[in-house]
Amino acid sequence: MLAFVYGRNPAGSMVELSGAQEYDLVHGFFNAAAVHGLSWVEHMHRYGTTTEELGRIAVQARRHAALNPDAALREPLNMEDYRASAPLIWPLCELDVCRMSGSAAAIIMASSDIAKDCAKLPVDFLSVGREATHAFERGVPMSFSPERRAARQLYEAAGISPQDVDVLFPYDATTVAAVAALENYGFCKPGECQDFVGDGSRIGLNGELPMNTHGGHLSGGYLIGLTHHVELVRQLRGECGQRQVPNARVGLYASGGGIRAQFFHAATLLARGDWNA
Amino acid sequence: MPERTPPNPKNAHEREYWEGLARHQLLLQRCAGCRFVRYPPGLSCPECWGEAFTWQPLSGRGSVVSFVWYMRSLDRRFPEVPYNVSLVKLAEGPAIISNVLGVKFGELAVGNAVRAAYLDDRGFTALMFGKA
Repeated sequence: MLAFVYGRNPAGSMVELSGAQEYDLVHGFFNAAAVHGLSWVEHMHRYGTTTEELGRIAVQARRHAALNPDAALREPLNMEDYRASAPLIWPLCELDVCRMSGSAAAIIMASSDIAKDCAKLPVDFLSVGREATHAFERGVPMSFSPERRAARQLYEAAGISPQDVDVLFPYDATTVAAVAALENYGFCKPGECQDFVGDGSRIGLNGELPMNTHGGHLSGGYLIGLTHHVELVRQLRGECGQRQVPNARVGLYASGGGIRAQFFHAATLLARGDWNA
Repeated sequence: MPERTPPNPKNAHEREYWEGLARHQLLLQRCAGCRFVRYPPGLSCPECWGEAFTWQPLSGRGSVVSFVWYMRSLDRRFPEVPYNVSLVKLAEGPAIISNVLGVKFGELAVGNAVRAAYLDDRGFTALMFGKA
């Protein structure tokens, strides 16, 4: 089986791509960045978090992109640049939101019988988690309930815990989604992302949980999660050169989406064949 | 004023909702089985899939669960910025995406009490909110 994605998104296609429906369009509500912004405002109110945590995510993504020749945005970025970034949908600024890009990626899937005879080291598909909710109708902004249920499915099916994950690949359409994955996939407790992210080093290449080592969507380019899978597989095979996470054996990919009637989350766990040896 | 796209009701339930707004009345469906009050109007309950319901007139009172401010116009139909989009939880249960009118950037906060306001424009009535 071959899965591929090719992205060529014209400017101005944001409303149509965002899935906004008439009940939301009446109020000028469109673009996933607005959904993520709603989540973050609620999070800041509940936990006393700020946009600084989001900035750390953007800066760290760029550090990784600088080591990836295929990344779209590689020029250096620091927190001053982040704070000076133009407001887009408050509380998010331009650097919180990934950009449309034209690019392509492919992954090949096969049964393990076939894969073992291929030239490259096969990577095992351990488990999938998926959940959806109509959370807005309950007054709970995105991500916080279905994502946790997806995480539980994922870990239970594979028989592992967050501590076993060596590399994390959240679907970072915005910086908020990356932070949400840290909390909802159990790497830190809800509301504790501020301490967990810290100065960003924990999610860096030499940190405890390297995240989006290719630069993510934020700096790598928007290819709806396919480049995340490509990088994840390369990390598990040890093919990432300067970006290689030493002895990466288990990787987690987490995505979320939806804007009106449903919010859905899907996640995959991939591992090197000898991960539990 | 933004160019708000008029609704295009797909069934009798949706029509009933918009006709209620035109009379400046907020009506939502309450599921006869599980009592869940749903928004937007639809054919079945998103909680239990039940189809039987009664129309429930709502008080229009609610509070702001969250909000964002569009600082840049991202669509030609909404050229004036900043404008807010707010998630308002109604006293009777459901949460609704809408706008809180009459507030400037910086004047909106999570927990603000709001009340329904009805905006007649372009041949239909939109459900808006104002600070209570």
